[in-house]
Amino acid sequence: MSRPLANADGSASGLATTLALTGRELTRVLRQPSRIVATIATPVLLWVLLASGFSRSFQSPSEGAAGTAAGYGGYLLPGMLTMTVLFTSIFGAISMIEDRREGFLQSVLVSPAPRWAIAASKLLGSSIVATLQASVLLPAAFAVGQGFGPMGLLLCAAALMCTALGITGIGLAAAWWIDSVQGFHGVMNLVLMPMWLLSGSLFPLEGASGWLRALMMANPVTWCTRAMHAALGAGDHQAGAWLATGAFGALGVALGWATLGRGVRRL
Amino acid sequence: MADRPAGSTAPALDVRDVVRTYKGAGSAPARRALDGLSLSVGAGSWVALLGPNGSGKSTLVRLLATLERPDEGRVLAFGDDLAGRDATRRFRRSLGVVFQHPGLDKLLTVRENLAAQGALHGLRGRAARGAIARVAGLLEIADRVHDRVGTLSGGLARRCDLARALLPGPTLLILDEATAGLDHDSRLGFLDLLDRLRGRSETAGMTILMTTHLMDEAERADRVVMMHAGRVVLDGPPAALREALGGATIRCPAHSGEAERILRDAGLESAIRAGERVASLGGGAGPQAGLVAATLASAGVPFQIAPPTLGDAYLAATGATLTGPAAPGEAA
Repeated sequence: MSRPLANADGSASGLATTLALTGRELTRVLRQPSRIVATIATPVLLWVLLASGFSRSFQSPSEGAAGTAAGYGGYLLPGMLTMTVLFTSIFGAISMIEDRREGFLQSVLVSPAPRWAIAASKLLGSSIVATLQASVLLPAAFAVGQGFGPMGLLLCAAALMCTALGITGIGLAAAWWIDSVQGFHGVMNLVLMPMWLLSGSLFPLEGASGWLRALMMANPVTWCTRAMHAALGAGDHQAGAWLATGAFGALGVALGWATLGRGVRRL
Repeated sequence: MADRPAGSTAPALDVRDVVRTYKGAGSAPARRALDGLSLSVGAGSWVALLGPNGSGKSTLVRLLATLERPDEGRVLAFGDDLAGRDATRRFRRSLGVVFQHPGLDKLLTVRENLAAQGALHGLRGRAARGAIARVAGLLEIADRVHDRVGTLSGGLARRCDLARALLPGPTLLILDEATAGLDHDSRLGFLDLLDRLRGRSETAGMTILMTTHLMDEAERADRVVMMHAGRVVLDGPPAALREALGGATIRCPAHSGEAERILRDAGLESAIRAGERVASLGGGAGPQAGLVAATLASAGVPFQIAPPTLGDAYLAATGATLTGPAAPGEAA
C-alpha cells in the first residue's frame, strides 16, 4: 500500500466527539429555519394573547393586587420561556428517532468514540438549542417594564439549561422505545402539555388548592419555572426551587447517559 | 489504513457456534436468528454472505459490527475476542460499515458528514482535511463534497456513504445490503466501484464482507457463504459452488403448461423460480438435453440451456429460493 487513506489512530477523545456531534445538532437546526420560526412565534403569539386576555382578572402573588396588562405579561413571560424550552428540547429526542431510522446513529455507534460523548452531544446539542431559542423571548421582559441584570440573565440561562437537560433526557429515554415520530409526538404531547399547564406558568401555585396544588408541587417543571420567575425579578429566590431545578437537570443527564451510554438494543 | 495487530496471521473474523435469539413481540414465539453459526473470513479476502431475507445475514452483521452481542458462542476479530470491552473498542478502530440505510445526515453537506465521521475516529485539523480529500478523490465525489446529502441521487449518496466508511482507513469493510433501493445502473456502478477499490493501493489488503440476496453481486466475491435459517449451508468460491452441481439447466417460461408436460415426460423434475421453470439436466447438455430441446422447439416453447447459477446451488442445498422460502410446489 503506497499511501493510506488516513492514519486514524482511533483515539477519538470524548471532548472532540462531543464538540463535533453537538456542532452537528446546531447545524441541523440552522438548516431548518421554519422550525426555528415556529418554536419562537408560537410562544410569542400565546404570550401576547394571554397577557391581553387575562390582564384584568389576574392577581399576581408578588403584587398582591390586581395586575395590569404589563403585570400579567411579566408573570407569564417565564412561563412562555418554559413552554419554549419544553417543546424545543423534545425535538432533540425526535432527532434521535430520525437518526436511528436513517442510519446515522448506527454509523456513530460502530465508531470507537466513547458512548458517554455520544450521549453528551445529544443532551448538550438539544439543550443549547432550546436555551437559545427561549432566550430570544427575553427582551420582552423589558417591554413589560421588568428589567434584569447580567446576573439575572445568567441565572435564567442556568434555569433554562437545567429544564432543557431534564426534558431532553426524559425524551431520549422515551424515544428509545418509540419507533415512529408521530407516535412520539402523541405521547409527548400527552405528557408535556399537562406538565406546562401545571407548572405555574399560567397561574401561580399559591392560588391552587387540593389535588391541583399537589400535582403542581410534584411537577419538577413548576420549580424550574419558579427559578425563572426569580431570575427575571418576577418572584423571590427560593433555595428549594433552585435545588429542584438542578436536580431535574441532573435527572435528564442520568437518563440520557443510561439511554445512549449503556447499549444499543433498540437499533 | 488503520493498523491490524502487527504480524497477526489470525483471520479477520472468526465466528464460532454463535446463537442469537430474539424475543417475540407479545405472545409471538422467540425467533432464533442465528443457530450455531460458524464462519471464518481470511484477512484481505472479499466474502459475500448470500441468503434471502430472514436467513440471518443482518443479525450476523449487527454482531460483527459490535451493535449486538451473541447469546452463545464467540466472535473473534483479528484474533481478539469481542466479548471484551477493550477488544471491541480496538476492533472499532479498524472497522468500516455501510448499512442498508446510508449513515449520513441529509441536512449536512457531504464534507460536513465526513468531518463528523473523522472526529469520531480521532481525525482532526489537517489530518482530517487530508483524509477527506483522499477519500473524495478515490470515490470520485470531490466535486460534490459541498452538496447537501439530501440533494444527492441514491447512487451518489451510497458512494458518499462508502466514503464515510472508508475515511478512517478500515482494515475490514462490512456492507449490509448496501445496494438496496438502488436502480439497476446505480447498483452496477456501486459494485464496479468496489471492484476498482480492490486494485487501488489505498485500500489494498482490506477485507470486505458483503451481505446480499442477489446472485450477480455475490458472483463478484472471492468466496460465497450461503445462509439459511441462521446457519451456513454452502461455502466456497462462486464458480466452485456452481460447478459442484454439475451439468446444465433448462429454463422455460414459468406458466407454460406445455413446458411442464414436456419436462415431466422427459423424466425431469422442474421448479418455478424467479419467474422461470427450471429443470436440472444432470450430466450435461448431452443426448437427453438435445431431445428435450428439440421437443420444446417443435412445440413452440421458448427455452434456454444454461449453466447452473448460485440460485440453483442455493435451491439444491436448502429447497428454498434466494427471494424467500419456497412456496408450495415451487421448489424442486
